[in-house]
Amino acid sequence: MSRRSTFLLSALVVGYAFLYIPIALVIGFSFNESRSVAVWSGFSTKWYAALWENDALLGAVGLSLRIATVAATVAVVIGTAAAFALDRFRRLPAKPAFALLLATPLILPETITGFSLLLLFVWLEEAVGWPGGRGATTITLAHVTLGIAFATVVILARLRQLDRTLEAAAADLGATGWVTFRTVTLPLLAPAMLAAWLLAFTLSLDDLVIASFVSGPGSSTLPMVVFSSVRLGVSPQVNALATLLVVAVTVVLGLAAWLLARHERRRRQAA
Amino acid sequence: MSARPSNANAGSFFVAGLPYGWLLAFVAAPLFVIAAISLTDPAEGVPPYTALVSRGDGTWRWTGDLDNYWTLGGDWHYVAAYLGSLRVAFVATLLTLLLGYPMAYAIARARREWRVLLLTAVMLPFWTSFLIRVYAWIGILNSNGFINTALLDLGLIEEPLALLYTEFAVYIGIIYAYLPFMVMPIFAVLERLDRAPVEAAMDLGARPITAFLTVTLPLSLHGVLAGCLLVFVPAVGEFVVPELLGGSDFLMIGQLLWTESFQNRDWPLAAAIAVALLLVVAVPILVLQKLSPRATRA
Amino acid sequence: MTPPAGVPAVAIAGVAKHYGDVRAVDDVSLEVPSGAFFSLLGASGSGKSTLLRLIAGLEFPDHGRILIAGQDVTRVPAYLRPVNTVFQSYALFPHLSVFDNVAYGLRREGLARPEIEQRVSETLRMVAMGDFARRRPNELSGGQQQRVAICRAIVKRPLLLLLDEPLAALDRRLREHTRFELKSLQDRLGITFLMVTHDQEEAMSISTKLAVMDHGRIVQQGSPQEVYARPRNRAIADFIGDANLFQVDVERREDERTWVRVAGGRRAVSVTGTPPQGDHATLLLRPEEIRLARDGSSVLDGQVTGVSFLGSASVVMVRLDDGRMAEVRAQGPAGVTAGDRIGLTWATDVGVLLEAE
Repeated sequence: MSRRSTFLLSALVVGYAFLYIPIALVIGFSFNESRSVAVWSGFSTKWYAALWENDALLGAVGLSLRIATVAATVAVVIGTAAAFALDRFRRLPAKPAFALLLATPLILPETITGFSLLLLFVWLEEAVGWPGGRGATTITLAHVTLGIAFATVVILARLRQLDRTLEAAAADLGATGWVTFRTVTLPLLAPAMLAAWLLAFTLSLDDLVIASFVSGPGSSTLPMVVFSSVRLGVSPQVNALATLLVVAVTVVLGLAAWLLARHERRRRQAA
Repeated sequence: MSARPSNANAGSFFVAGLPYGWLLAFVAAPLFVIAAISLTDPAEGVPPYTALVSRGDGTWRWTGDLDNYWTLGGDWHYVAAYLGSLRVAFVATLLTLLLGYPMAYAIARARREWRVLLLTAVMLPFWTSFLIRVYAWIGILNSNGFINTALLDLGLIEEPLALLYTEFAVYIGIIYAYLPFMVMPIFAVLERLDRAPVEAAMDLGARPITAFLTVTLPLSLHGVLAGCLLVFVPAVGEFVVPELLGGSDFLMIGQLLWTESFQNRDWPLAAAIAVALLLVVAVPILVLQKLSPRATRA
Repeated sequence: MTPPAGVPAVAIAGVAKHYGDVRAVDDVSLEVPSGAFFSLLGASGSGKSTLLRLIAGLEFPDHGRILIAGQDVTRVPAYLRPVNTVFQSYALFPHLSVFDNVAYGLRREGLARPEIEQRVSETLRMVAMGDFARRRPNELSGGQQQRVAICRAIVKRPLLLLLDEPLAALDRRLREHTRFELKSLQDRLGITFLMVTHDQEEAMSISTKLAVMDHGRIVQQGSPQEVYARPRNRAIADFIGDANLFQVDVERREDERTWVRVAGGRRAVSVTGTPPQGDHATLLLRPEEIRLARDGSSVLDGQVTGVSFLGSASVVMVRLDDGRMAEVRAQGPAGVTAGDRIGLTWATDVGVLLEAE
């Protein structure tokens, strides 16, 4: 083997070890008998049982799932519209500004995003009496904003690959704009929209910083609860929660990948 | 164009107007609001800041000033946080590049059937909780954590190394969290790169390492740049990583912003911190914006 | 720089290169004389490009040896070989100016700046690219890019210049013009050129020697005239130039010549050269070797189906009485039109006998 390929192989091994060993350790020690997350003292599932009795945590899971579901759905709708506006409307006013606004939440440090939204909500309440306190609503609004930015990237990429002649053919056959969209464009775009939804959902579920800024008393999301518990130090209970999250994400992603692969296969067979 | 039915125009208006309106309201407006509030003074009550214009003696009077910015610039505590954040973000970006580039290169050169698998493996941790990924390192770097326990058991050290709550831990955390953002854009460029110029370089007398430095690297530079920006910009404002893994000897700007708004409730000062941070990252963001159309077109 | 007289620029002995089950180059032995303009001619997939890459050092053979100017370079990497290449799509460095592209190889040698500048400008002027030194490759036309690619290779003063389909990316007019430029460049430089091409006309018109490759093997080599006049088999005959192939029966063998009768022919004709074994053979006649005959002296008869006038010559398509087609190339106007009855004849001892199909 040449020196070059030895070097590249070791880069891969080091890189993937770096990426996966920490996660593997977290999962492994979630089954530890003792409180330690470094010294193995026997197998136990008691930390999972403890999770089940942690009402604050379960409440936070429920809130996070509700927010993430709503935010992802709204973000995909608006993101699809934004992708269309970017790809199909040649006369969209101030297009570069629009693209810049879309890209901003992608790259802005989340501390700035969170804090600026907090000030906006406070200022709005002062000026127009809305949104009337901060909590699930303001977190959802913030997560929709973040989700739009990511969803648009995913959907736009797919939209640009679409064969425009299909839409032209539908229009030629007498379909109106809306009917064409519903019967031709939407089904072709569905896989990208599913991917975008999953991305927005995950981002919402994962967000600590922005949610902390725009949330109010009594509305703590899952990352906020985890964060306050992590600040107090490591605990196998957090490991157990992390393990469940990893398993859930893997299952959902696996399912999505399987669905997309099946969709792609059928499309190929049909073609 | 003018012959279009009017309901199509209404539809188009809605399709463009909805995202446009949303972005103006929740992306552009908040940035204006922090800029405005950064010019006010803190006050007791709700909201905890003074008005930017006030009405006295029957006339509107401008009461905004740059006091918060003078405070920022004059206090070593804040200046150190800025310089420290920039340094940490810069070094962490460089380290991420040093690990990410060879990975991206190796994946791009891997056999086609391996590539998807390797890429998915890079992206997979991104889908799991950011917080959990940072948390994982506490258990590893702690004084009674995995590394120290292992080294003590092997008799390599007498007492635990101080790994956690150091700048080193912050680097590890940032590299770990943002590695996929470095690998993806570099891979995207390298995968499309033509082998022929590299072969031409070797044909002209360049050793493989020279050919890499004079041909492959310059040709993949815009991927490197995109990756570096995607790591550097969030790293400058990072909160979770320094908060959980970093020491108390200095705060990063993200932590400062958090402290000022939650603990001190000095929102005008926090707004000034945010605006100053925004200016620091605005330059790279605009550069990235310039680059991204080219990246998507290729 | 120049190898001692009599030592071939390249000598290849028993070289083979496999990719999995595919034998890209299969036991090839070849000598390229110093100072030659040598062409490797073959269809795509014949292994000619792989052979070129083996000589350049971009690939290494599984078996065999490669000598350049007498030195064994079989395992020597590309960057240490006294060989430079003009790549098929030029492979110019898109991020460097024309000047820096050409200077690239000299910089790797660690030459002093003034010398680099002088050699680069001199070489650019040689191919009339002196005014384009500051341009980027994407600001040049295809023909200009090709000249930069040649410049970049010859500025290194290699013992051997490899050219991989150097003309393929040019349009037809430019291609024919550039052929002569390449030839005159080689005369001026005195470097051995080894060119890979799928275009037989290109290979014929500029090479001093050529080798025909097929399925990873060299099937024939020699001067263009030799290969054209005496192709070893029907595939080569078909590949190199236009060919009329007739089935013949061998009637009589003499010392110097063989008498054969073309199927459907009126009389036996003689052919020189070594005849194949057996009673049957294929007779190859080039279109310009056949004459139109109206006086009954013909060997074969048929009807003109079409005439194309090319200026200096005319090509006449004839349907023979047994239904097969023949192509005749006549000097100037042919004087026949479609529908005319016509006879075909040729001079004594013209043509080549090949193995029967």
